[in-house]
Amino acid sequence: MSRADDFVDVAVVVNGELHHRRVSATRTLLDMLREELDLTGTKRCCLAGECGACTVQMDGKLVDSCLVLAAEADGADVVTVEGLGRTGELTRFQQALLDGGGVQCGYCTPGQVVVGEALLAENPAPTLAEVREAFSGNLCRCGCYPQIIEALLSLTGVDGK
Amino acid sequence: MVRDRREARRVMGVAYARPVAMGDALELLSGFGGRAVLLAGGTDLLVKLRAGALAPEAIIDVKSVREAGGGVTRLDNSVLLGAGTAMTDLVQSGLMQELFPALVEAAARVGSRQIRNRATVAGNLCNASPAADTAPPLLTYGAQVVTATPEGGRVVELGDLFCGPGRTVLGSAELVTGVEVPIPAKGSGSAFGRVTRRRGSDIASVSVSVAIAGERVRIGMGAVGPTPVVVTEERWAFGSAFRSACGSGVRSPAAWEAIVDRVVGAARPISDVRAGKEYRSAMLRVMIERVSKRALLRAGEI
Repeated sequence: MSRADDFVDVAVVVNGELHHRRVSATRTLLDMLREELDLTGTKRCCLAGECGACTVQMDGKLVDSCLVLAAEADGADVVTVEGLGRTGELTRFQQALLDGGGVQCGYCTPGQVVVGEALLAENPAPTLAEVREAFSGNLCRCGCYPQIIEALLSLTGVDGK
Repeated sequence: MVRDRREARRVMGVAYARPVAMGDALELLSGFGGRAVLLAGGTDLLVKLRAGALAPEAIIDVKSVREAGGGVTRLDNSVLLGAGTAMTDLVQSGLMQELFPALVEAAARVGSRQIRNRATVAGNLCNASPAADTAPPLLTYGAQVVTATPEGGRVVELGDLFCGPGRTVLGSAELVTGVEVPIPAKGSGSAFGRVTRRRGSDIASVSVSVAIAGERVRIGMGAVGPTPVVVTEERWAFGSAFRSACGSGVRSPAAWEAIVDRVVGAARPISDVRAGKEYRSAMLRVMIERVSKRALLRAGEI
């Protein structure tokens, strides 16, 4: 017979490192990443799964971490924006965003980067329609949508890589 | 300090459990006597918790309950969608694409990619939003909801599931294990369409699903009433009326307009934050025509 507990022990791999934490039942993955693990790259924004600023990868899938309880992440493999690319280096998409004016206030940027990197990993040569669809869960209040999409497209097999 | 009004303040004393055995899940639900909530994808539940719309004593995570897991299984005359099937998995299933294109079209529009990777079909139905995207298609396919209870469980016709906005007939110790969808006969066709305020992630202002199979056409409508609704029309008359109204040559729209009048008569649109009543009524007629056209094409009727 299982019980229901107010506090739950969670073992979660984040960016390749295993962490053990004791969290309250209602703690979100988003807040656990930011508060317990000091990974503040992932942003708190709408808290309703509408804006995508809290996007992380969980077991290989993009999710809004504001809608995942930390307790649900027990046993999961999570990748945040901090875990993309190598320490101290920008990823190609991050560099393309900077070069292309795809960052204004920067608040939506981590979510956009996580989504963009996931898209490129799954589909190195997406069409414009596929890029738009992939980013449709990420809002940008500054209105950088054209620059973000253009930055992604600039990486799609056009350069001599 | 300014309080974030969207945070549920009542975070103390909420417990979490993740049972593995169905018996344990049902025992927990019974034990909490209606004061526990079920957690699958969490894309509706966590929003409600944070808004203070729910104040449960416990959250029962059912993702580890094998009998309520995900998966698309072909049976003799139907397909069983496991309760835990995420929208993404439904959309990517070749079997679902072939047999239930309207449902795939609907599931592909739920929220965003991030939402679809977590949201489940059973959750979409049990949350019972009048605008639930998977409801109109499943209604038109004659789907049934399979549940487990301490007494053994039951099968509920989807049309009998919803009893009001956000409310189902399911009991507090009742767990959906799957949705069974009869396979349409040969020569069938179906399609789904919806109107939203923006092209990205949004909730439907109006949704329409049309399924043509055998002698029947079923038209499902969402976001135009307290619950999703479905209407049945006779296939030959439906196709004939459509061809007369929208085909080439001299148009005679009277028969088609009469059918549309009858179909929209089952809807009770209201004005809310997403759309006005008049807009919904107007768009409902437009979407019925557009979606019917695609379903008729797929069914070989035009």
